[in-house]
Parts: sequence; C-alpha cells; structure tokens
Amino acid sequence: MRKLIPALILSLLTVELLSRMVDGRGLSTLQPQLNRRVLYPGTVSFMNEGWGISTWGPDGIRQKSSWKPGSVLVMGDSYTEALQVDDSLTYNHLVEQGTGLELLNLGYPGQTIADHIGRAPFYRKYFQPSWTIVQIADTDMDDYAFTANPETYHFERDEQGRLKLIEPHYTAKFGSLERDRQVAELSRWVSLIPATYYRFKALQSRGEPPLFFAGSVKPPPPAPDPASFPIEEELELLIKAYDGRLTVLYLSTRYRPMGHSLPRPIEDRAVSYLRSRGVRVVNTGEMGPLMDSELRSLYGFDNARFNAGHLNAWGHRQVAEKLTRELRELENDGLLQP
Amino acid sequence: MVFSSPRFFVFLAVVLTVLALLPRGTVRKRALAVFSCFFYAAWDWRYLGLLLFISVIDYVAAHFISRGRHRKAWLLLSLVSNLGLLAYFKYCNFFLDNLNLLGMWHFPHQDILLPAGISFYTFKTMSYTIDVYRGDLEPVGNLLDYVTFVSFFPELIAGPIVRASVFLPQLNRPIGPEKSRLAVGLSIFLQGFTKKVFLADGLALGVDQIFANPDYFNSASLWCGVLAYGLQIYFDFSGYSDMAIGTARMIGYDLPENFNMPYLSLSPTEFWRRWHITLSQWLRDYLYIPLGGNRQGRVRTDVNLMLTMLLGGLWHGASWNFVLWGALHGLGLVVHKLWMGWRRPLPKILAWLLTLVFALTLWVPFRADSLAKTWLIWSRMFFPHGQAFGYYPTWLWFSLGVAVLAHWVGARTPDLSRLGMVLYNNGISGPYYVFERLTFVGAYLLCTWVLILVYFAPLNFSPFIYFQF
Repeated sequence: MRKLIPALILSLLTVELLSRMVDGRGLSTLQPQLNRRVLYPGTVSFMNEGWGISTWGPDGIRQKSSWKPGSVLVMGDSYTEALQVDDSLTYNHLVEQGTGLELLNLGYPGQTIADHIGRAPFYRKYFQPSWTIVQIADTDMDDYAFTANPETYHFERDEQGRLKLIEPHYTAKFGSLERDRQVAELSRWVSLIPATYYRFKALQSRGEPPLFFAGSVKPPPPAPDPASFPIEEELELLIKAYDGRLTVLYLSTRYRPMGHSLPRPIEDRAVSYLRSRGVRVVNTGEMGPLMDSELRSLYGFDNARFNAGHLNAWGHRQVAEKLTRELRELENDGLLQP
Repeated sequence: MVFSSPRFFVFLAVVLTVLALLPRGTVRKRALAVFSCFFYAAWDWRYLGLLLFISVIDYVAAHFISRGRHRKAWLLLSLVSNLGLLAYFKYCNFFLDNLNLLGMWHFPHQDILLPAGISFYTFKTMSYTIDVYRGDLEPVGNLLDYVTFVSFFPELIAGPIVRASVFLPQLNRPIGPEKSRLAVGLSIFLQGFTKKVFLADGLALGVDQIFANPDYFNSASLWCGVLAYGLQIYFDFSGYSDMAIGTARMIGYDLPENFNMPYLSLSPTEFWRRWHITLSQWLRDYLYIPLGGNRQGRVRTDVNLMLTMLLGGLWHGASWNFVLWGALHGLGLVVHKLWMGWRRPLPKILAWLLTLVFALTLWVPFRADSLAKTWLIWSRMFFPHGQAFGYYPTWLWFSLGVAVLAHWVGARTPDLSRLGMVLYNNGISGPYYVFERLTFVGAYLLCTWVLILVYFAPLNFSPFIYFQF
C-alpha cells in the first residue's frame, strides 16, 4: 500500500497530462456579450481527428486576442473552427497571408444557417465587418437547422407557416451559467480528467470511439429528401441578414473518388438559388476534377477517415486559394467596406 | 456478453464472488456449469437447448463406446449429430446457393441464425467421443461434469478449442478465486483486453475503409491495409484467447495456448504451429492423421495436407473466400514440404520475410467480402496502379511498434522483475509475463495502464472477429 498510493498519484498525473495533450478542446465557456459558447482562451490541441494546436482569443476568435473594425468576418461550424490542423494551416490564416486582410474566425461546432442568420444583427454591429464569409454545407439547411438544440438558433414554423427563428437558450448543466463557468474554470485548473472522461464516454455512447477516429462508425443516415426543406426560404433570410454583403463558402461533402461521386441535390439547389440572387459562392463541389487529378481529398486524415470528416491541411489550402481570389476580386471591385 | 464489455465484468465479478462464497468441492463445479449456461443463454437462450442436447448425445455415445457395444455405431451417431448440426446451421445456405448457381434448382434462402460458438463446441465434443473411441480417454462418469466441460464459458464462444483430454482431468481440482490465481489471471486478462480494445479496435476503422473501397487506393495503401488487417486479426483473436485463458485461470482452470508469436514463423508449416494452435492441432489429430498423414507417400501426404487445409478454411466460414484461403495455405504447406525435400532451408531473414508476406497476402481473401475484391486487391498490391489515392492509417504504425516490442520481449524473455513482473508458465497456457509482486515502478505502470484503458477504451464497441465463426 505504501508503494501503491504514490504510484497511483503519479499515474493520475500522467493521465492528466495525457488528457491535456489529446483533449484540450474539453472546456468551453459562455461569452455573454456574443451570446454563445467559446473555447477557453489559450492553447488547445486535439487528437480525435487530425492533430492541431490552436490559440483562441477572449471573443472566441482563433488566433486573435484583439481585432479591428473592418475585418472580414468568417461564420461557420467546426469546419471553419478547424481544430484538426494547426493555426498556421487553417484557410483563415492562409487567406490572411494571401490578401493582407484580417479575418475573424468565429467558427464553432454545430452552427447552422439559423445561427448565422440569428447572430448577424449583433455581430455586424459589434465587429463592423467589411465583408462576411458564411461557410455552410448540406446539413446546415436540412433537419439539423430545425433540431431544437437549445444552445443554438434554430428554425420553427409559425402559425402562418413562415420560418421563425428561435433564440438560443442556455440550459446550463451545472445549474446557473455562472456556476457552470466556475466548474469549468475549476476543472481547468485542478483536473481535466472528469470533464474529458465524461466527454469521451458521451462520444462512445454515440458509437464514436474517442481516439483516432472521426465521425460515427455507424453507417450514415440516408440523405434527407431535399424537397422537404425550405432551402430557398432559409437562404433568403441569410441574404437579408447580411444585406447581400456576403460570400457563401459551400463545403460539398458528396465527392467520392474514381467517378463514384454522389448526387448533390441540396447543394445544387442551394448554389443555383444563391447565384440566381446574385450572391457570390465559392463551392468546393466544383473541385472534384482537381481532387481526381491530384489524387487527394479535401477531407479526412490518416488518423481518422479517408475522404470524410473535416478539411485536412491540403483541403484548407485549396479553400484558401479560392477565397483569396474571391477577396481580391471584392477588393478590386471596392466592395470591402465596413 | 462480449469479454470487453462492462456487462461481462459484472458477470465475472458475480461468478468469482459466488464461487468464493460456496463451499469447496462439487457444488462450485455445479455453480460454474449454471453460470456457463447463463452466459450462453445471454447470447440467445433458444440455442442453450442445442448445446445441452449435443452434450447429452456425446455423453451417452461415449458411455456406450467405452462399454464396447456397437462402438462404431455410437461414434457415428456422435459425429453425424455434431457435423449435422454444423452443416445445417453453418453451411446450409452456402450449399443451397451454390446448387442454385447450377441453374437446375431454385432453393429459397433459409432464415437460419448461426448459434454462437457452434464451430468451437462441436469440435470440442467430437474430440471427446473420438478420444474415448480410440481408448485415449476414459469417459466422464457424470453428465454434469461433462456439461461443465462443454459449456465452460471462457472458451465457449471462440475457443481456444479445449480437448477433453486437457480439460477433464482438471475437473478434480479445487476451483475458486485465490490471491495468486487472481494475480495471474487478471494480468493475462489485462493483456488480452489491451490487445482487443486498444490495438485491434483501433486498427479496425482503417482496415474497414480500405477493404470497403479497395479501388480508391494505391498499392502502398493496400499493403498498409493488409498489414493492418494482419495485426488486427492477430490482436483481436489472440486478445480474446488471452482473456479466455486469464478468466479460466481466475476460476482455477488452465486453457491451452492458442498463439505463439505467429508472425515470427520461418515457414508456412511453422506458422500453423504458432497460429490458432488449438485448431491446427485438432485438424492434425482428428483429420490429417486419420487421412493417412505423411505415412503413405509424398503424393498422398500432399493430398492430405490440401484436404485438411481446405476443410480448415471452410470451417472458418461458408464462403468461397475461406475455401480459397484454406486451399492457398494448403498449397503453401505442400510447396514448403517439397522445397525442404529438394533444397536447403533459406537464410532465416529471407524465410521469415517470405512467410510473413505469404501469410499477410492470404489475409486478403479472408477479409475481403468477395472473390472479385480479393482479385482487385491482389492485382493492385502486386502490380501498382498509379491512378489511386493514398491512405495510411496512423494507428497501424503505433500498433506495429507495440507488436515489434511485444515480440522482442516475447522472443528474448528479459528479466522484468524490477517491474514486478515474472514469467508465468504452467506448461499448458504458454508463457506470460504477470504481475506477481508489485514494485513502485510496476505499480505505477499497472495503475497508468488500467487508468488509460478505463479512460480511453471504447467499451463494448465491436465484437470479436472470430465470433462469426
């Protein structure tokens, strides 16, 4: 017993260290002014899929502890947040390097088109962006945007059948939000083991082993019928929310190698509607021939899945090239105005 | 109830506690039989009757064989019952589908659920009646003892295939948890658990992706996929065997060794002495030798080898892929025998490399879901195709590193007493390093190991590969 107790303490310290290496993501806190959760300011690394080191500022903006009005706002989900790659490899950083503009990466997992619409009024006032890039994908407009996740904006239909935006409501797990924040703070300083253990077991319960895998191992559900979702209505709300001053980055995930690509009904409908309304679109669905010729996929990592999951470093580079071209055009046309 | 699931841990804890509380002697054996039947019924209670039915048939058959009356008829009854069950449950649809392919008939597909572990327990029970028939074994005097042997839960579902001659003499031992048994059993179980949940399951996702769409990937990726599958199936099945051996040890029984570093083999013949040892020995003693073995000339020996391996392949599953796998292994054994007759042995490093590549290459039909995919993978592996994607699962390199280290330790057997580990070898289960007396470093390693498993292990995530057989 005299040997066992010190050995156990040392083991716990080892596991604590390991937790911090592989699951820095664990903790988030509410940023009341932005009315959303943000990753704790500091450095995190993440090994679930890919392996990246990321630095977050107090406003939940990647690599930015302060910012200037007139920057380009980048709204998106975990694809834009990009925990899977280092700061220097994200498309946001690469576009900044290519254009000399400042980009504010506000990507956060699970954000849908409803969030991008709902947050637009305050964000536009708060950040005063010169332009906004909104990253969306098929799932952002289907039933996911209607799922009543209380911590995100989502859609409902009102009595007249019109789309109604429901505001996020934080049902703090540990009671009040302040207490939630305190518990998270305490975990961060004392031990990440309980928080990480809880998160890992939650992942496992969804059939997602915590290490070295990405996405669910269960077969993906059949794609929803695009006809059943009001895609055009949603996009119209998005266009209005930004007064048309936005570029939509559409991340297509329907690419399969060797000519096996899947039909893209939602993407085709969304992109053609946006273009018909004069909205600028950067669509990775058009990169199939590039991927075929380069024999590389935008998505997936060797420690996770092939051609599935989040953008890999090569994917970020390709997206960055397209966005750099897009922002240069906007700049040349004099459209980048706060 | 998968060995790596929390349900099994609870079940095992209950079994050990009840055994410890019961008085020593027969009552513990009876309790063990009841627990074993419960364990089997937890998979599918309907097939428990089948297990008990076949136990009774073989028990009665062996009883009459030993009395000397109509010995052949009783043996035949036992063999027909066992093989009949196996044929019906495992091969019925395979034969019907192939008959349908001839175009003369159209038999509908039968909705038959394969009883868990049927391939393993039928081989176990057949070994009993055959041994009694040969006079190598006295029949068991008590049906309940025999049921304890047949239903013994640690090895019931996926082996090791315990011969009656190995297990029945142990039935007279006092059983139940003791400090030394628990230390050894838990150490062995922990090794198996790590192999399964950390290594095999970690490799599964990469393997699954490569074998699902082999046409996406280039030659190097396919080689990585095949290597990853070679490691996955080794860690999965040897991990299961370790868990079975460890569980049996905690109870007080010894199960036979099933793997002995097979990827270090220097020939196909040696590979089969090290891989799934209990099946190889079963096939040797109850099929190859009765067919004539190597006593009737070279051609007959080769034919016997081919037949044994073909049936060994078919034992794994009702599909032409398994038949091909068995046939090619048989061919490997024949070629090796011919080579040894004509030429000197190859240099060790070359022999090892050739055997490794041979064994890995033959995992392709074992894992691929069709002969067409098998051919596609082989053609891309050996004739590189430039226009394809690269995908090199990271977990492969970690697992490979662990495998190399474990094999190095296994081959060199260094003194690990400073870590509190000693080499345990009871002459049946094979050597294992086990924690005997904890040093500080040993306690630290053990605690960290367990904490990491508890923390990261995807419990109850995937079944063992050999469960399907």
